Amino acid sequence: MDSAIEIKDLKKSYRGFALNGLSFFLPQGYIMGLVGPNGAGKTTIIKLIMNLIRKEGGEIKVFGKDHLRNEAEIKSRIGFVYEIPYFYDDVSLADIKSAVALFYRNWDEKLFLSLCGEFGLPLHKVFKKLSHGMKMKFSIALALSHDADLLIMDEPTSGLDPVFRRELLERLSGLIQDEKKSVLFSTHITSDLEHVADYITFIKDGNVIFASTEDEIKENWGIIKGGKELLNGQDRKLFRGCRDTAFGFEALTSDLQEARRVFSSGAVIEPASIEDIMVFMDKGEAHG
Amino acid sequence: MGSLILKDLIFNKKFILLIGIPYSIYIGWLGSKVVSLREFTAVGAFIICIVPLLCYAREDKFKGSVLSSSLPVTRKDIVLSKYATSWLLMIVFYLLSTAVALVFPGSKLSLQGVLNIKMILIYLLLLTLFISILLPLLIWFGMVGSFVFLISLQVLGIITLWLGSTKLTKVSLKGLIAGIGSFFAALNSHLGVVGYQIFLLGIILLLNFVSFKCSEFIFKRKEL
Repeated sequence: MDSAIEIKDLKKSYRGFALNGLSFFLPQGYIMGLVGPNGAGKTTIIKLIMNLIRKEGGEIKVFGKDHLRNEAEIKSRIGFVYEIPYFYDDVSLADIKSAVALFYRNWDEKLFLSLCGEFGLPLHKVFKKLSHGMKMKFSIALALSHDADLLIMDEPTSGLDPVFRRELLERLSGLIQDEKKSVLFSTHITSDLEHVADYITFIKDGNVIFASTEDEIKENWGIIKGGKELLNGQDRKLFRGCRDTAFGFEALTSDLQEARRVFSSGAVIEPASIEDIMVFMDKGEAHG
Repeated sequence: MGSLILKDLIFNKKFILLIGIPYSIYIGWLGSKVVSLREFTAVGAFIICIVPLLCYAREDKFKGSVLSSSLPVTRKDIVLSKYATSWLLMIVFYLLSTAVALVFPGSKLSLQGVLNIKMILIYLLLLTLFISILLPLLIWFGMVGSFVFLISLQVLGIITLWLGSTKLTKVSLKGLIAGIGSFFAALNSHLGVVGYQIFLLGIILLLNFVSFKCSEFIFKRKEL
């Protein structure tokens, strides 16, 4: 399988935060969602891929090539959307488009104009006059208009209304149908991932907790609910997070089969949603 | 690199039209009033080099480097284009202000006095001195940081002068300033000689190259 993004042992540290040798792989033709609580390192990973910040160790390959040695070539095939679009506030959308279009050989003016019409973007307006949602739409229109092989989007759905959010996610799903285009997007809206992501990479405190397909998550991750009398020290090793409830306990496991065997009677076991995993990993006391 | 220059011109076109052109006309008008060609050259060069620097201060304000660095170019290209755009704007505004200075009614300047190799080289040297110091600072510290840095330098200068006047240091500031003065005087008197002109052109190119390399070094390591 050809890779769109391949990250090995990536390291970057700030005061109070570090990416600790992070690795993941996004094959061509798939959508990967980066998920994690605020401050987990999602934006840092995207900035590192785009060479906006410097890595301290490890390897980043995009389309199988080193992202620094082939920077310009790689970026010509990337469409990017950042959480905060960095365009000049006092410049019109038409002028921003003219400036950005200069850099892409495959710029599709017809597609851009059709997207602007569809998104209701007023090209004569200056950027600062747009709402955050409209700014994101403009950023998305630019990213989609040059036939990029890889879309890298940092929280693209933040500030968007639910209808447009759903439309965008469907558009992303449609994009990868040719099996050559890929999407990496970060979000903390976990329902977005359940709609479109083929791979979900969960990040917490700069570490990859898991990088799996949605099916693998459903097969392996679960929530166990039961009375406290069911718990003993050995069973707790199965838990990735546990919390007390009025009726007993609720725990998260990444070994659903084993949990089903151990808690065969007296406990309710159900597959965990990404949101469950996020909440337990963030708030739940690890191993009870 | 052409695309980067065009991008900067598009993003700053209103600013250039509303600030750069009136600025140049003002310098031209000022030049037409003054008798001293030296004053016109020094003040003109300083004000003209401010225009591209203000364009890049705008980039700093809007975090435009994030956009530039996300486009299919390298950081080296970005820095190179900053120098190219700065020189393009400075040359255009120099020509504009000079034209205004010459044609303004009652102008005391003459075409031969302003547009000759000697004056052009002095102008280029002054522009180079300003831009080659200020552009790396702007790239390194941003707009606010550059101001803080320059003000700190001024404070440091005042302290040094004070120390010099109290004879606490052995550095002869008067001698240093006189040395710089005599260097420029010697340069001025020899600028008619072709050898010196080539030497000065070499210095100008070298200063730009060194400044570019410093800026490249800074920008390649900058976290955006």
